[in-house]
Amino acid sequence: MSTETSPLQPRDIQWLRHLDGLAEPHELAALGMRTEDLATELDFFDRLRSHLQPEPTDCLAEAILERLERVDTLSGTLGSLLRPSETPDLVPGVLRRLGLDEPALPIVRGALIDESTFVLGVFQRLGLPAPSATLRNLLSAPEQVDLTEAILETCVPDASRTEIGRAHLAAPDSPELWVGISSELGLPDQATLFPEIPTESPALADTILHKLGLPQAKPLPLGPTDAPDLSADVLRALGFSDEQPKLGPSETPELFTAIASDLGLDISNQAMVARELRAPPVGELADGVLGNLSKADPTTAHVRELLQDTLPSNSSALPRANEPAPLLFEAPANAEPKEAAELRSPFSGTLRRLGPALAMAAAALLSVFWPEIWGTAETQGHFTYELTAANRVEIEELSADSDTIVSVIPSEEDAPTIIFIDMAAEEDEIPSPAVEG
Amino acid sequence: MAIFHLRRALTAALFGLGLVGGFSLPSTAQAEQPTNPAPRAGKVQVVVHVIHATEEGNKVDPKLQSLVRYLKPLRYTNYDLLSTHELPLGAKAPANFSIAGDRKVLVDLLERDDKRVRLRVQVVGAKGQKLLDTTLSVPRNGTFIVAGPKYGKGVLVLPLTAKY
Repeated sequence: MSTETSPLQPRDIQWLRHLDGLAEPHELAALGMRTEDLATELDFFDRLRSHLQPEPTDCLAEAILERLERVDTLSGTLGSLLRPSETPDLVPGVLRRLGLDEPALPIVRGALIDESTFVLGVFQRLGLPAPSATLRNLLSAPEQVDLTEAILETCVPDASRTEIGRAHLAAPDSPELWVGISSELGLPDQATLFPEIPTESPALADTILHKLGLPQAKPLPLGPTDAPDLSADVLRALGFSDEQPKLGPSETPELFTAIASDLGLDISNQAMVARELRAPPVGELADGVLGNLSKADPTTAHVRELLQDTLPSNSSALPRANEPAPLLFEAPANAEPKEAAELRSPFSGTLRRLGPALAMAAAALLSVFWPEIWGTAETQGHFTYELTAANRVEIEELSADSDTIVSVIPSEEDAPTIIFIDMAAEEDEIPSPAVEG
Repeated sequence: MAIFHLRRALTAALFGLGLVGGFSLPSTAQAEQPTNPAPRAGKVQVVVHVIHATEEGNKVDPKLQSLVRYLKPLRYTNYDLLSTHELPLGAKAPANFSIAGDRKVLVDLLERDDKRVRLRVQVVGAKGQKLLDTTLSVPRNGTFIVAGPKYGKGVLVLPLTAKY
């Protein structure tokens, strides 16, 4: 966000008057402005911020929230305004408005929101479940999950979570956000409160799957139950079998405690922990992760053992391969098993151990998204065409009056489709630039 | 630990590129965004350039430099940018504008999802005759071109880009 002050335009001033209740909708309409466009006028907000120094975000957030509370037609746009990725400097102001703690704001302000939500969304849609029910619930509001997570995990004291959640759950302005919060809080009747918001609609993950060209509705056959052959191969490659001694909580108490903490499990109830870790979905996760963990790395070896321990019996019944595994990775000579204690922050610990999987997912996404990241954009007052395969259109219908011939010109692979109109009937009356002025 | 560095690098790249709406952008990245960001909340902005293509001369408007190579099949050599129209389209809110030769272009947003947008594009002649009526599916931020309406000693070329 630029700190340079740019002049407010008459249009901006009208918006401001509108925010203050001084301008009526018909006055905006007279200037060609529509109330429902307010939320998308980010350019206006940028200029407004520069005029609201030294605390622009507070004032702006306050104005926006107050305005949104009064204008029903804008209620659906609050979600996009609150997305940190789109309006990062609005979030602190919004959080203050919600009465959240000041010390936590820098965490939200920066890029420190853990990437775990993103990865968990991918895992969920791929059929690899989140490591705990808590995180799975968060994914029910994928568009707002980063903010929801930030609020709940970094800002809101445990004791006041339910109160805050209930207080704002009834607010109609931000249903998506509060669906996420209510889910986290375990409040019932989400569907009743917000029937228009599907609770199983991780749009983010859907987008990713679209880009990856993967099906959305059906989980990928990555789990042992769906793809036993694949699981068998992975296990065999790693040299695991049911004959191999398994490490459980009793054998690795420190590591087990750390992982359980990362999974959000109550380690005082070891029976519950065992059930959670041995649940088939976690087994599938373990299966997927096993292939990415270094067998020789002493740090990951414990995790690998523990994950392997969670596999369902049909997977662990695979014959053991005693010979060296063909997928063996070289471990650093000076590798030190030090992460168990230092990576206990919410969500992050387990995912850090899944580093290779995250790297692969990120790399795949980078490669898929790259063309569109640098795709068409408007810069310096003119439009830059960066034409890629994304320009392929599908023409469903094509027609014209009988005296006009319309054809589609074949183009190169990445070029945009050209629809050519051959106007035989207008041959005698071709308009001229000179006549047109 | 090298793999963690790789993960951090890739994650940082993802953050920096502002992918998929679930990430926070640092303020510097925000400052580099275009001044007219694409519309949000279900809207699509269709940007249309009205270009006059002729065989007289070899001039190409600087704003069209990156596009002109895709116009080679039209076999014109001179491209003047006459006007640019930015159409904010919402559901049941078609847009129209006039182009040279008293023609009208009507663009209607039929449907959109995260990947594609369905548009109906009509070009109507000065006498009300239908020069083109097409329904097509365009990828997000994709471009297609309508060309051919005669104008002066050349034709009009209209690249349309669906931004959202």
